[in-house]
Amino acid sequence: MKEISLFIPCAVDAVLVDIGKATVNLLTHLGFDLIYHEEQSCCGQPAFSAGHVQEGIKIAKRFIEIFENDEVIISPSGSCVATVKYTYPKILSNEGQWHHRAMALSAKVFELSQFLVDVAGIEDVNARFEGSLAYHKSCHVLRALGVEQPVERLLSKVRNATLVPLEFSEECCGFGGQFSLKYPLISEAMVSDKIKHFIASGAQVLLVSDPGCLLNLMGYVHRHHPGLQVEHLVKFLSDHIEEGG
Amino acid sequence: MKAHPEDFKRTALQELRNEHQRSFLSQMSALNRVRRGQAMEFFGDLKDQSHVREKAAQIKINAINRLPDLLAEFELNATQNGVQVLWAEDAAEANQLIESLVKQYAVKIVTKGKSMLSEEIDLNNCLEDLGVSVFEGDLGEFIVQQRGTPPFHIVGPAINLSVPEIAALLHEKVKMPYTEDPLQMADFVRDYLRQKFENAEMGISGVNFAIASSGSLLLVENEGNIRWVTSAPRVQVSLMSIDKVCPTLEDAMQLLSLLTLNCTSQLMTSYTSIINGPRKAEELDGPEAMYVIIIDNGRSLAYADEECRDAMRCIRCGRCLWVCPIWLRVGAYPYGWCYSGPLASILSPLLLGLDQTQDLYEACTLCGACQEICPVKIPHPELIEHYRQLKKTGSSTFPTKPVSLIEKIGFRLWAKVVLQTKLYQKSLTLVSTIMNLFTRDGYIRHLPGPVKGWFGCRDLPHLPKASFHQRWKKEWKSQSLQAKTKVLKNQAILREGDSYEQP
Repeated sequence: MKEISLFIPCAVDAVLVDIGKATVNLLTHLGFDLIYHEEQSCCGQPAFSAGHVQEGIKIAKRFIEIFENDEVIISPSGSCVATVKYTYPKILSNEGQWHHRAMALSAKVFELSQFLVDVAGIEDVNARFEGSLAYHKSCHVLRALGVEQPVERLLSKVRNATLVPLEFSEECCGFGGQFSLKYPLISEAMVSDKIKHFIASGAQVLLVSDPGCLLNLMGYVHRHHPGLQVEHLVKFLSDHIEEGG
Repeated sequence: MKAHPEDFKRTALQELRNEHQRSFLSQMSALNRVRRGQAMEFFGDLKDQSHVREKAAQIKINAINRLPDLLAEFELNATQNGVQVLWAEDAAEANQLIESLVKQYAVKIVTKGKSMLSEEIDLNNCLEDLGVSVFEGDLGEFIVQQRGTPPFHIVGPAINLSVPEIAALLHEKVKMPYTEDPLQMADFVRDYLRQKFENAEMGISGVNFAIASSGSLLLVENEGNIRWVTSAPRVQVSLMSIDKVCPTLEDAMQLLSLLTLNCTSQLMTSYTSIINGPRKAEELDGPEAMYVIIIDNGRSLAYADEECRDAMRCIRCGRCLWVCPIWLRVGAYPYGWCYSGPLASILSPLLLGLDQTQDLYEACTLCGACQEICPVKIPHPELIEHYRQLKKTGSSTFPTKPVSLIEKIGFRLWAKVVLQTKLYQKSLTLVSTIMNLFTRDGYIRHLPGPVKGWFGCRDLPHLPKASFHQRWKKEWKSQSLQAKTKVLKNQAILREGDSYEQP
C-alpha cells in the first residue's frame, strides 16, 4: 500500500482542525499510510481569485517543490484541489519546466471523496448513521472537479442513513472567499436561502465537502438556527465509523 | 441607456429587500431548469449536451478568430444582395449614421425589434431627441420602454413585473382601458403597435446571426414584431455588433438550436427570419432600402486580448442569468446597463472599462454555474479572474482603477508569510490569539476591520489553540503509525493491488 500525502488547507490548519483530524482518522482507518509535509501552508487560492497572480505564482512554485515527489496527494477541500489541479498549470503555462512540474503534480492531487471512490475504489467506509442526510454540492467539488457521484456513493453506503433531496443543492452557498466580506448582504441572502432549503428538506444533517462552505454555513446556523447540524463529509464519515467493523 | 454600474452596491441593497422579486426569480429559475430539461429530452439531438456545446463553442471560436475576414466576406456578399453596409466604431458614430438616414428618408416614426445593441448605444433617446417617435415592437421591451427601466432579462425584459403593475403602466402611458386580463392587455398592445408598424417609415432590428457566406441576416422571435419591422417600413436598418458574424448558414443553424433552447426552452421560435436584402423589383413587399450597421463599440479591444476574446463568443441566450446566484438575489438593476448577470460580468467591463464596472466582476463567488450551462462554453470564472488580475496590474487597453494600498500591501505581506513555514505558523498563533480575545461562549461574534462583513450574519468558531500542523507533530504523526499497525491486522478492510492512477 502506497503512502498518501496530506494536503491540509489553511482554513483546516488554522480553524477547522477537526476536519484535519477526521481526515487522518478516516484514511488511517482505511489502512493508508499518511505523510504530512510540515513545510506546507496555503495553496494560494485567495491570491488567484483576487487577481494577485504574481504572489500566487511564488506560492504555487513552493507548493510544487514540497509535494511533487509524492505519489498521491489528498485534501478535504474541493476548491484547494481545483487550485492545484487546474489553476497551477494555467498560470505556469508560459514557464516551461514549471508547467511540466505543475502538470505532473496535477495528475496526482485529489479531493478526498474523489480519491476514495474513483481512484482507490472504496465506497463503503463502514459507517452507520440512524437518520437523514442532505448534501450541499459544493461548487468546486461539483463543477471544477466534476465530483458528484463519488459523494453519493460514499453516502449510499452509510448504513441506515437516508440521503434526502435538497432543493437548489447545486447553488452556491454564498461563501466565495473575499466575496463574503465584500458583499456581506448578498452573501447573507444566499446562505439564508441555502439553510431554508436545508430546513425544508427535513434532513438532520447538512453535509458539505469544502471547508469554505462549512465555515459559512455553520457560522450562519450558529447565529440564526442554533441546533441545526452542518458537517463536513469527512468529519461525518469519520465520526460514524462502526467500531470493530 | 446611460450606464451607471458604479451604483451596483447601493442598488443591490435596495433590490435585496424586494422579497417578492427574490422568491419569484427563484421559482422561475427552477421552472426554467425543468422546461429546458423537457425540451432537451424531447429533442434527441440536444440530449448529449457535452457534444453539442463543444461543437457550438468550436464554431464560435473559429468565427471569432476569423473575424476580420468573415466581416469582409459578409460585407461583400450583403452588398451584392443590395444591402448597404455601414461601419461604426462607437455609439456616437452609429447614432450619427442613423441620424443621417432618418433625415435622408424624412422619418417620423420608427418601429423596433428587440436589440440589446440599440440599448447599448442609447439609440431610443438619440432618436427622440431628433423628434422621431420610437416604438419597441417586442411586448416586454415595449413595457420597459414605457417604464423607462432597462430590460430585466435580455430575453424577458419585463419578466419581473406583475400583471397589475403592467396594467397600471399601460393604462397611464398608452391609455389602455384598465384590465388585468393578460390576453386583453396583449390584444390592446397588438392593435396599438399594428398602427405603428403600418405607418413607420423606418424599422430598426438587431441581428442574431450574420451569415458571411451569403450576406444574409438571421433573426429569431416569437411575436412577429421583427417580421413587421423588417418588411413593412420603407427603410430597414439592422444593427449588428462585430461578433455576430458566422461563417455559414449551416454553422448558424447549429447555434440556433442552442440559442432557442437556452433562451426560451424552445426547439424553434415561432418566427425565424432569414433576410437576404431589400425588396427586389419583382417583389411585392419588403423595404425599398436596407442598411446593416456593423458596430464595434469597444469589441475590437476585447478581440485583441487573447483571454478577453472568449467573452465575444456569447450568443446572448441569457441562460446564465437563470443559474447565477447573484443575479437571482439582486436582479438586473444593480448591473446598471442593458446587460445583467454573468453576461454583464464578462461583457460590460470590456465595453465600459474595468474602472467603473468593478463590482460586476468582484461580486462573484466563482461558483461556475454560468460556465457549466453556457451553450458556447464561455469560461466565465476564468474571465472574471482575468479582469481582477488586469485591475491589479493595470492595463494599457482597458481603463482600470488602482487597487487600494491596503489590499496591495495586505496580499504582499500575506504571500511573504505563506512562503515561510515558521513565520506562517507563528503568524497563525498570533492571529488566533488576537481573534480569540473576541470569543464569547466558544464563538467569535464580531470583529472590526476588513473582516467585519463576515459577522453581519455569521459567527466564527473559537480558533483552536493548536493548529493541525502542531497537533500532527505532537499527537497524530505517531498515532497514525500505531493505528496503521492495528489496521494491518484487519485484512477485511485492506484492498489488494491498489493503484493510484486514474481509472
